[in-house]
Amino acid sequence: MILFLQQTVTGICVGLAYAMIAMGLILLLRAAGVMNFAQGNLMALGAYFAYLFLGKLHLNPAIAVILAILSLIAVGIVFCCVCFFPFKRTKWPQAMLICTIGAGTVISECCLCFITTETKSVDPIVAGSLHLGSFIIPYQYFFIFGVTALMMVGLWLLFDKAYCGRVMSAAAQNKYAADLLGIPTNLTTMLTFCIVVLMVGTAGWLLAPVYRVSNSLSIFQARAFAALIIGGFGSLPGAIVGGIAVGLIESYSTYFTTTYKDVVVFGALLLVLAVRPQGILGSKVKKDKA
Amino acid sequence: MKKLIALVLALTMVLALAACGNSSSAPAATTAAPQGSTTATEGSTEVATATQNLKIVYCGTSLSTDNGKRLSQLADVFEKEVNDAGGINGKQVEMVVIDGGNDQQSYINALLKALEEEDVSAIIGTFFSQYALACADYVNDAKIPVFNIATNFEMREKSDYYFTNRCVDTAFSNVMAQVALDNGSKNPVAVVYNTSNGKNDSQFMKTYLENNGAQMADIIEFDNTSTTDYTPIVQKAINVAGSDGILLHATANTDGQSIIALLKQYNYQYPIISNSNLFADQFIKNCGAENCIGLLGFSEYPTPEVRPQVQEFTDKLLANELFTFEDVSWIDASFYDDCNLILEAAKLAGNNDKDSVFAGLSQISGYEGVMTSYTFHSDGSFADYIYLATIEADASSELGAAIKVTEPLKVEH
Amino acid sequence: MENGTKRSRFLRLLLVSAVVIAGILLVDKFFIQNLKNSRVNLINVALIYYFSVAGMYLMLGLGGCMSMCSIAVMGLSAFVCGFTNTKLGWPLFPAMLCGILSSVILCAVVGSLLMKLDGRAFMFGTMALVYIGTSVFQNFSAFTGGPNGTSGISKLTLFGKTFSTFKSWFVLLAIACYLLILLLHRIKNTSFGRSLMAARDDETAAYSLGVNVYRTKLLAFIISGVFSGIGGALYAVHNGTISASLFSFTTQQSFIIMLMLGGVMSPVGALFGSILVNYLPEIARSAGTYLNMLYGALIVLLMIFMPMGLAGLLKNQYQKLRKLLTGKRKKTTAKESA
Repeated sequence: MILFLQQTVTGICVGLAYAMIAMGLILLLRAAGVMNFAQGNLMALGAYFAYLFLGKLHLNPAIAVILAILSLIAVGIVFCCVCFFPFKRTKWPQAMLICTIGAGTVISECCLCFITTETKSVDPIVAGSLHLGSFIIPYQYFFIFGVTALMMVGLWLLFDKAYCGRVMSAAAQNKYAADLLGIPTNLTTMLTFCIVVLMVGTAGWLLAPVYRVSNSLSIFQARAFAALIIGGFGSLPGAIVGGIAVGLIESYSTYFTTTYKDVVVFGALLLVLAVRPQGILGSKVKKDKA
Repeated sequence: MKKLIALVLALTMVLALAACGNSSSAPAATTAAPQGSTTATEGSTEVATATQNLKIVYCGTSLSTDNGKRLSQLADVFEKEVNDAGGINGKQVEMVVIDGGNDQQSYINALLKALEEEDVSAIIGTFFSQYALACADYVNDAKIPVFNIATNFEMREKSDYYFTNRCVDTAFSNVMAQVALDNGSKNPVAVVYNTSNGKNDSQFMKTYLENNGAQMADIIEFDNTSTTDYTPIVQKAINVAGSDGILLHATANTDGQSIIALLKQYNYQYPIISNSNLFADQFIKNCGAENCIGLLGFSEYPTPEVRPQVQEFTDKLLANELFTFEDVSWIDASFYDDCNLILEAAKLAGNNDKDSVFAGLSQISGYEGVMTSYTFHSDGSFADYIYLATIEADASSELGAAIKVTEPLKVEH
Repeated sequence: MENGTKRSRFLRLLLVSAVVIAGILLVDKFFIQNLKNSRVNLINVALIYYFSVAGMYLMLGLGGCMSMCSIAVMGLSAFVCGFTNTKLGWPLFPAMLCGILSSVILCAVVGSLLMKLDGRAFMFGTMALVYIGTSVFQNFSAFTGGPNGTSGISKLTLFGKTFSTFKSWFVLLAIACYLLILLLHRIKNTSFGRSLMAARDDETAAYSLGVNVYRTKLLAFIISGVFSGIGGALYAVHNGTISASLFSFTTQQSFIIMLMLGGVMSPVGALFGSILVNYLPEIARSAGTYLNMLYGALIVLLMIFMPMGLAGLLKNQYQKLRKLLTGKRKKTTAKESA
């Protein structure tokens, strides 16, 4: 019983990590129509920045955070200019996807070349963990949980309440109509890219103390895709629910197998596609709406 | 129009038959030749008495990884060092580095290329025994000695040309199990990665424990390429009923670091015995000193107190401007020892070509390398000694903890 | 169709085939036989990979579906062939047929499940298959031999000749790839091919014209599965030893690159793309540690400037040249003028 509860807690914690990446994917999909295969590498970039500014250069944490935010915004702008603007009038939608694959490779190789090749660790914001009997939750997870909640609330406020958020939604749904209305669609798309890169970079920064700084952070991406499908394609709450679901499935699967974890998680994905293709929270609409 | 088509058709058919006729004579020769044969083979047997440069090719890893960068720099260091000292057998040493890629097909491509390098004397290969096993046929045909940085005993069974300067896993699994027994762990759990190395080792450890009146509580395998979170695995290991120790077999990257840190976080009280990958200064630095204190196990790389050659090597390497890293790891020492073993074999045989090196390797006895002394054994391995090791708190060291190595253990083959 | 045009088409086909086969034999004699073994291995593996890339051309170029599971199907076929050959002791041809059959069954089952879904869900479903495949191949020792894989697969013997060296494989693989290209050209001109392209362009319109989109795409998926299966069986026999690391997701990504580099609308282009991508480490050897970065940057630049690949680029240049030479304005449709 104790083991079950422990694994539930673990599953939710890692599920939050998947949820953060999946949220970024959904946003980008809505805004640009591109499935970003570089998402895992962007998260690893956030972790590498954490190591670079805190570990290697030993900067003051406040300065490090500001520098990281500026760098991530810069990366977002470059990413948008490279992977989105050239493809606005392309006939072939898959070209954008493949471009993101290439961009992801470049990002990970740059990290290896210029920052570090070894697997490093970063100090957590608050070291230590909470001990509740035999439950052990590192304090870092509370920060992750808090930041995820903040992000969710922030995005909801932005897109549903704020004027600029509605403008961005409009541009995402129908570019032509938005252009007619005088909305600067290029600017809004770039803004969305920057927000997404910032989000996923922050996720990497927060997860670095727990999961270590190395290129293997990009394997989170495959699980995030699974989270998208299981939770319901196209909605932000779906991404979060899907992420937690995938985390729990992965965690419980260690009861009976530790090497076939991939089979269980992706088998669940295929099962969901077979039985309920719209996911847990999706609605039965054939084409996904923005 | 039709006549033109017919004429051109006839012409091409004639050409095709002519080409067919010529090329069918070639297969009779090629089917006789085994797969992977090169044109260089005939050349070197005819000129066995003449000397050539000692050419060593390294094709083991992708050059953008940590190991790849280190070892390519180390290759330059070795080449310069030996050539400045006068070379070997009157000729020079040549080191060639080929990018080995990240997966099996890239390694096969790189190894085939290495096997065909003109006048190659020896090759230093991969860390992964499964890649080495896949290429055994090509190596057997080319008859070139290959030093792998892997320790799987199955490699030698497939090819007499496979060597390793370390000891094979049959030997050190027994050591690890014995350490567990010596520290009061009668029912440990094995946590291993799911390569053939890990699987073999867990079986050997289980057999050793059962032969000595203990037993293995459970074997937990993990996939270190696709696991995101190691917490469930550690939780499962801790909660195995009646277990009193962990026998860990992991790399010094994410998996080893995560597992050790998690065990510390869960305040695991029983002995943790690990394989030699984790007994490195970098591991202590990257994982965090307080996590590593209390680790037991064995190391193939001794400390300077036990073996002065290690200190000499470290100082020499850090002072060399061709080597840009700030610390020296066991991989550097292992590679350096591989190169020196090849050099020693060439010296003993009096010639630099591959057959002489192969013959010379089996004559090596008691050669003092950096890590240990080396003697040729029938299982293709060379190491004579490994060292029992622990990690203890050390206030004087800048890391906060240090590896303490006890007496060398003679490796049983 | 009159007999005359049919016969002249058939004669033209024979002529082209004869030229191509003669060309292959000439290339083999004068070029391949003198090449180093490792280079021939690269070309052979590129040709084997082309089987999967051809399947992807069918699915993506003609069908508009990005299918990411070619490598898993290839792996299954290779391992079934290896298993029946080494563990069950079957001779090589039944083993290879068994492998191909297993890939057909897998594609039929997975395809019937995933074809009803929209493009993105389909893509993720096939991706999931790759990850499941890698995990099973690495760990299921009884079937695949675990991490060490299956070794000792028999050598191919055809018409009394044993294919035991890399150089002997080239002619066989090249002719097989040529037959594949012929088949793909032929498919494009059948009603099945046209239905597939209609489904790619506008599904609703295709439905309204009576095209059973689901069945058409499923058939295309199974055909691409057959191609991958043949490729996988050949891979197992060519390499002699196979293990899970040969069938990872990174190889699948390189298939996509091969297809896009050569030209997503051109089977011949895909062949050249396949050979080029496989040869890239050779060409760019001086890049050293920056090889992967260069590879990624190349992919990005390729997609920005040449989304239709080399074949598309060549076609554009050829049309511009033709316009220049003839001086007349050739009648172009909206599709060709881009």
